[in-house]
Amino acid sequence: MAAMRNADLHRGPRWRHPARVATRVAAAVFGGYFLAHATTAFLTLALPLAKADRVIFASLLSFGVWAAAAVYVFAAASAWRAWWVPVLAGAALLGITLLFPGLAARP
Amino acid sequence: MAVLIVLTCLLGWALLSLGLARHHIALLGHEPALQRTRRLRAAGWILLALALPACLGAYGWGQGPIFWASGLVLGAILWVLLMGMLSRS
Amino acid sequence: MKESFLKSMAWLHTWSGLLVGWLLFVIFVGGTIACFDAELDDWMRPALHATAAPQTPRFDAAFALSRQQAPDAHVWWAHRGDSRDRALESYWVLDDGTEGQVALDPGTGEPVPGTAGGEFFFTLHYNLHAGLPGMYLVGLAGMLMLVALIAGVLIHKRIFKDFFTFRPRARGQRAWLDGHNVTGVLGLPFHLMIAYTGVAIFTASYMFGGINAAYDGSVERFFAEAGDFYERPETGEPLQRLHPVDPLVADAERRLGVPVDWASVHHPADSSAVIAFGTDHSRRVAWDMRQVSYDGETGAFLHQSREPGAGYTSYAYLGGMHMAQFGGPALRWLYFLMGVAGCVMIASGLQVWVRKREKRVAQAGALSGYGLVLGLNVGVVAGMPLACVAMLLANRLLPAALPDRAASEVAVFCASWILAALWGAWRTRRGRGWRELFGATALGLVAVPVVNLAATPDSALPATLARGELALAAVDLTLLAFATAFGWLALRRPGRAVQAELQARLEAP
Repeated sequence: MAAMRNADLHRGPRWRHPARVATRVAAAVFGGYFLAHATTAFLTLALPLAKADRVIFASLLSFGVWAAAAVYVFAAASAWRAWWVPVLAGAALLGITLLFPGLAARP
Repeated sequence: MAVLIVLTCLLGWALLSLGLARHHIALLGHEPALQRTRRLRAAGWILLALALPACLGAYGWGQGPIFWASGLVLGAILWVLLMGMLSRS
Repeated sequence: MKESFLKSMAWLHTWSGLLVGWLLFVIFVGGTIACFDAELDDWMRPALHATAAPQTPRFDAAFALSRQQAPDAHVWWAHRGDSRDRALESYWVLDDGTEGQVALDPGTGEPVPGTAGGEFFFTLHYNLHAGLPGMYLVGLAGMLMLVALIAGVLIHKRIFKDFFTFRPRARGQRAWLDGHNVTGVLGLPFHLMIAYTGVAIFTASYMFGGINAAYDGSVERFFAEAGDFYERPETGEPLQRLHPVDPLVADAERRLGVPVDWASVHHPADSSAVIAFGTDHSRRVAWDMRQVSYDGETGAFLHQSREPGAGYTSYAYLGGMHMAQFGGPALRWLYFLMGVAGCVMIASGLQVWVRKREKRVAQAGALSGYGLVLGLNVGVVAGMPLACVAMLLANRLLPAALPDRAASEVAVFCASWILAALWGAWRTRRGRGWRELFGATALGLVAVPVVNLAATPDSALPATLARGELALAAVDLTLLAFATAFGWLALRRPGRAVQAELQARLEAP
């Protein structure tokens, strides 16, 4: 690691081609947001708190999820993973939430 | 009080950095003995840590940590600027 | 694998930072100045400097003016004078969203010459004066800053050995990078906190998953439950007479247990009018959003907010951490200084990007992507401070009787920025853009206290210090301190050896 110079870092990752960059950006923005949205919904279902408190804590945490998803998207080994990991995770969380609407809306 | 906190943190960071051989040489011109670096670093950490109860006492549990964190940040930045000016290299 | 991870994070840090760098610089400068927005509001109203804010507020005087200006408003709002800003302020919002405001003498209730005030910088900071789209843009910039910070941390984890290094006399690129690293790394707790809390304040505008799941998408019901704000529908009947507001203050203060800071009248022309009171956020970190409400006609007590739950209190704590209304002047100074460090971090980051590519930049010339970055760097980073200074000068020089005086001050701000940016971009081709703009800013910063003394001597340095008006004096003194800093930036030159090396690198094949 000590041998790694600053200059090496800035030669950039393998996928510097504009189209591949665009894919990753889209995955980070939309896929990431979708995961954040789904996490908010899921935590609103899952947290052991009063309704308003669940919504607030879930929403406050979701920015961290979006940021983490963005980092993952750009670190992912392939563009495929950059997309389907957050989207699948989001779909799973959202799916579980939609199965228990009464529970999500409990006081 | 806030000024005192920042100065305490500044001193703490100064002691910590003097505990690093490279900075000791740059600031004082000679390499420090091993025991000296340990003492300097311990003193540095202790000062930084003591600033927290001082802040909690002066500002309470809600505001105290924020004043402490601010003191750490500004103390560090001010020390680095100072060190840049004082360095002999 | 690890190497490619670091490369990916370096790329992410660079590009997320560059994409919003200029925007973020504007937001940061606005926010840093806004630490003292109330003090600046006060400084920019010299007509009031002989007055002190009275002990009892005069909300009725403020509402008398609101009735004159906007009898059918959606809401009137009045803010009493306090130790930070002595003016009595009268605001109103119409049904279509248009706003208006006038500052009044707290003693006589008479209007004083308008100013854009410190509040100009606060609004610039959170929505770029562009309403809802502006707010979303600021939020997006905040998110990208968070991502850039996290990516930066992930790279830097390996480079902690350089933790304390800063070499201002070193080669040009190295000094900028060191400046960026020092302010970025050492200021990290502040930057992370300010970015996250800034974005978190607007949570309800971004994250709907929870509201959808628990409140079937109704944001109103969520707010009602979370914040316990009192509201009642309009009746359509006209209000016969508004109950005097000032006599209710004592009861409101007794119920709240703290001094009242503001009053409002919702739908003042309708018989459903509600008078409400609230307090300021100076006593603790979390915003104190409690309100007491009274009937607009009879003055009868209607409602008092209950203590908020854990969720809302946490949200209010995060918001409070961001807005720095607690902790007195000490905390505001700490945030101000850390904010300056943040501005330096952003500006030096933008310069690092340019310097790392200086050969390509030099070859590409002015009319290229690189040329655009160069131009924007100078225009934004060197142009904005100059525009701020110009606005302060305009505040003292524009005639008091000028109609729409606040708008004129803003016009001076915008015009100076545009002119400065164009000048800087043009002169950068000869390598003089930065120096000249920083030099002009330094001169302007010195000029403000001087013009202050000439135009309004009672509001200027010897007089304010003699009277013990430390907040007013501090504005002039801070401007002089910044004049020194900008003067240094304008005059510093890298050593001859460094210049020769830079030249050699540009000419090398």
